[in-house]
Amino acid sequence: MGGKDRGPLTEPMFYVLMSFLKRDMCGTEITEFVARKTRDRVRLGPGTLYTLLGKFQEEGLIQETEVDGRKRTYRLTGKGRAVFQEELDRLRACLNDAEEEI
Amino acid sequence: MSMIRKIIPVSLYDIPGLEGWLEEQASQGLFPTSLGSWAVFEDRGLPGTRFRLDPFANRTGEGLEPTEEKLELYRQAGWEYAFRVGRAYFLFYTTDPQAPELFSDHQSQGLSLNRLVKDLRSYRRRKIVLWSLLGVLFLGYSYDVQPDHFVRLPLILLQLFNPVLLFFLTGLCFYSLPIDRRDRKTLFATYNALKEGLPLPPSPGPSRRIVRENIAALILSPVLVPLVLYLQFGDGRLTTRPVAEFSSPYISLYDLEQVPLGPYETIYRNNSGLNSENVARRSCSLLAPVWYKVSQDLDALQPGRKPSTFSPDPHGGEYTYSPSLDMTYFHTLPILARPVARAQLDSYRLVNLYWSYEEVDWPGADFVILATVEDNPWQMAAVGRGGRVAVYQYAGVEKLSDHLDLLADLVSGSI
Repeated sequence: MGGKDRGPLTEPMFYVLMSFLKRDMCGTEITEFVARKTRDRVRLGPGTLYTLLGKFQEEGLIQETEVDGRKRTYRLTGKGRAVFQEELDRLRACLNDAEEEI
Repeated sequence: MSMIRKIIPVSLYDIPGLEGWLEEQASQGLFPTSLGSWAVFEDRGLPGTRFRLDPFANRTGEGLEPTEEKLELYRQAGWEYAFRVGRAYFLFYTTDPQAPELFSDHQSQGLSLNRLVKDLRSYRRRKIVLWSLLGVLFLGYSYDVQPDHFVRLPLILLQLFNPVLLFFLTGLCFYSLPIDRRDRKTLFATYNALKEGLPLPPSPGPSRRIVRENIAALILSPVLVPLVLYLQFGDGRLTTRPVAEFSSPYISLYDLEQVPLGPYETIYRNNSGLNSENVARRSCSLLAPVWYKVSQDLDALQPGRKPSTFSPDPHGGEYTYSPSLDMTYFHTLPILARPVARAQLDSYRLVNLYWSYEEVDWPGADFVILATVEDNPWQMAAVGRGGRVAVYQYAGVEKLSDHLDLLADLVSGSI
């Protein structure tokens, strides 16, 4: 299921998928990554993050790679990367449209 | 540490309402330890505590308790787990004003409600399937060679007007169903708003009506539900008496038969449990204030070597003649007399036999219906006058048509 089928990603969804692009991540690392990347503009609540991780896992966008006590680490799947890329293309198109009009 | 119990004044599906009420209790120094039929608090609440309901099992693999991963993530964000609220939520709380909200955007909070919404929809579907199955069972009784699916409806109507059942059903229709509908509406409004990215709809807040509903549920459910179940499916110990102790009028099998008879245990001097077949049972309906059944099963005083048959001397006296008479008497509304008689005849009808029905005139009776089976000892009769109806099911050598004077006595009021 690609981005076109599932509709645009919300901002937290976009940043959570982005956090996996370079390496595997656990929940705390994702929260820190998003806060750092957005300079605290987007702060993920723990419920939001946990819900999104569950949803992405169910949809096969990420998969669990390691369980270390209470810490679970995930990685982006090929499908997850494709969904992120589709959303990135969509956002770029939006931006281009806007810039042409300015 | 003292325990304080309070009736919950908001719907469990009113998420901001329930969270707000718990925060109000915390500002009064109360901390919740359980939320169920009522709320239990300990006096260790801190003003400023935030409570949040986190929909439960919203992720594959999450069971009755939050996963370790969830607990850790929430703890690192400053939230502690309190307890589970039914099968709907986990309750988390924080005293840290800097702790981020559990859900930082509305859509993800909407997603977290997916399971709860699915459960509610599936509960509704299950209810529809269950009622449909009951309907199919009612209409499709496959062992009946002469089915008439709707003829028993008047009896069902009388049963529905059993005061206890009626009270229960009225409560269900006017109390429970509107609450279910309101809760469903609240949850769906919340779910739809969040999924659209809108904030939680405003809570109607604590309500005296919800307090009254919860008090009624607490008091009535433990009494009414077992009572209805007992009355409908119980052994009838409260309403059943031996025929010998029964005071209301009935036609005695002794008066119908020509041969001397006695109860099984008198003749055979042992108690086989057959004594329970000579019993009378009262029923209750607002549409039939007088309604009782009398079952009689006797044996000839001249016993054969083997018990129970309907012929007086089969196989040279090898068997004992054992006639039976079941009767049901109703005092109902005159307009219901004939339909109720037909319904009771159908209820007495043995479903693997082909019955012939004949209506005869009898002085003093509004109707007399006789039912027979060719070459078979089973017979039925129904006699009605005004609102009085007597229905008989008999097995033996006598012909009910020869005893209409006796059978009609019960409705003429001469007994």
